[in-house]
Amino acid sequence: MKRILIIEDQPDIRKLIHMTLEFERYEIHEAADGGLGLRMAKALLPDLMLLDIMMPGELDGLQVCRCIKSDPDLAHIKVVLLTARGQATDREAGNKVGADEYLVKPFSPLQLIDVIENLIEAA
Amino acid sequence: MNATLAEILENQRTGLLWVSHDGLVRYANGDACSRTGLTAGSKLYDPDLIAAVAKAVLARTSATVVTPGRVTGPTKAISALTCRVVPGLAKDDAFIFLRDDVDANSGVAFDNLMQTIRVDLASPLRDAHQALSSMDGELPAQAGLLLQSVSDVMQVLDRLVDLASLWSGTAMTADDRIELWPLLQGVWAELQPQGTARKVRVRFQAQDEMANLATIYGSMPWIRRVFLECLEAAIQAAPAESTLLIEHRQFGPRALIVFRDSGVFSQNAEGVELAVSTRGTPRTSSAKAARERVGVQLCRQILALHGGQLRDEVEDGVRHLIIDLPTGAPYRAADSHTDIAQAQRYASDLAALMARSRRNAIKD
Repeated sequence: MKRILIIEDQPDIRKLIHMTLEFERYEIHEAADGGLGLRMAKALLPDLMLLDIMMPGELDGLQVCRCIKSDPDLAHIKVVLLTARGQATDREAGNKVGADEYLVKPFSPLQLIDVIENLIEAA
Repeated sequence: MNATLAEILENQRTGLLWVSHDGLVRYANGDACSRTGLTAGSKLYDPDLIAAVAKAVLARTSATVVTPGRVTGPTKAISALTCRVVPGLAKDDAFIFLRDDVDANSGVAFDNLMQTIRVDLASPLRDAHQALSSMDGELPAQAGLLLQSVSDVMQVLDRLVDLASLWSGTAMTADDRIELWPLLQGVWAELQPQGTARKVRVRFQAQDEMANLATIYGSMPWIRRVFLECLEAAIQAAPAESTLLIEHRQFGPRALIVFRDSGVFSQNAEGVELAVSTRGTPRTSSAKAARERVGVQLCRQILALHGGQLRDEVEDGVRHLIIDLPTGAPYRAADSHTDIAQAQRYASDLAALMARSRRNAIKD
């Protein structure tokens, strides 16, 4: 079973993502901030991470993504950035840190599942 | 109702009613119940509100209606509620967001006051300053003091206007991603002529590489303003031909910008300059002190709105000025707009998700 790590500070959004993924067969883990998320990623080695950009704490989503993609042991993890910020400069920032996909909130759950499937199949 | 959706609606920061096209309440969160007395199953009592709901359902348009709130006691006046009516999740329902009308009106009164200060006070003063400046060569020497006074008062007014705009609370809705260190260095580049004039140099010292320093989220222009006020004050307060040391320290979820040996800015805020002015110091000193006091208040207000603070600390007998900010995005009880929008997308895709799940089960 493929493993997915959700890193998102808003519990309600986390729940909605969780509910969306429950329709598929994934092992789902959750973290509420970037620091915890990065530690969990190192321990769990998920196949894919759903990563919010704007989070409280030491690391935001862009910094977590940069850490993941610059670590040879973690770089294979697919990263989907989830954000309410949809401007070109924000997407550029996501590309710069090596994100595999970028979804703007509110995103379609169907689109989310498609993105996840495509990335996991391509891996 | 889905439990998650109920939780989202209940945790709205404003009163929220979910109503059907005919004004029947399907759901009322706690705040809406206490403001209106309405609960699920009851019907809206204001015909204007019912009409706005019908219009939102049929035409999918939003409207604002002022309606009487609940009477809380026999001697209490009826408070007015401002209701924002928006189309709901399904084709036959709508949401109503409630807030006190007084809140809305006090905002307008405050805006009017600030408009008066900007137009009736600051603008004529700016014109007078410009007129005096253009006559500079023809004016007697004493007029230089007058020109300086006008300039100082203008700066105080500008800072007051900025401070007032922060009180209204609308200025801090931004969520720019801010890298503090490059921003501060950009501000120094702007102020360098002042430093050069006083032969003051600045040395920046960070604990870590720039890529690893925490970012914050908030208003880039206002945080820049804090840096500008603090750095300018530190340059002016530093002894001539000295070096100003500015450090970036990070302690868990806090980022500190430390202006070492630069506590003078804070001392001004505590009224040192006021004491001087009572001994007959020229008016310009008093205006300068007022400018700095308002500047300090401005910085404090900006930082407070970002969950941070401006303080000074004494370390080994040396007073440091410290900008203390929480790293990352501010903690929010709930980002209701995003939550509701996301719940709406989830609700609209729910049937398709279930169908897809059934198809996958058949395939397996």
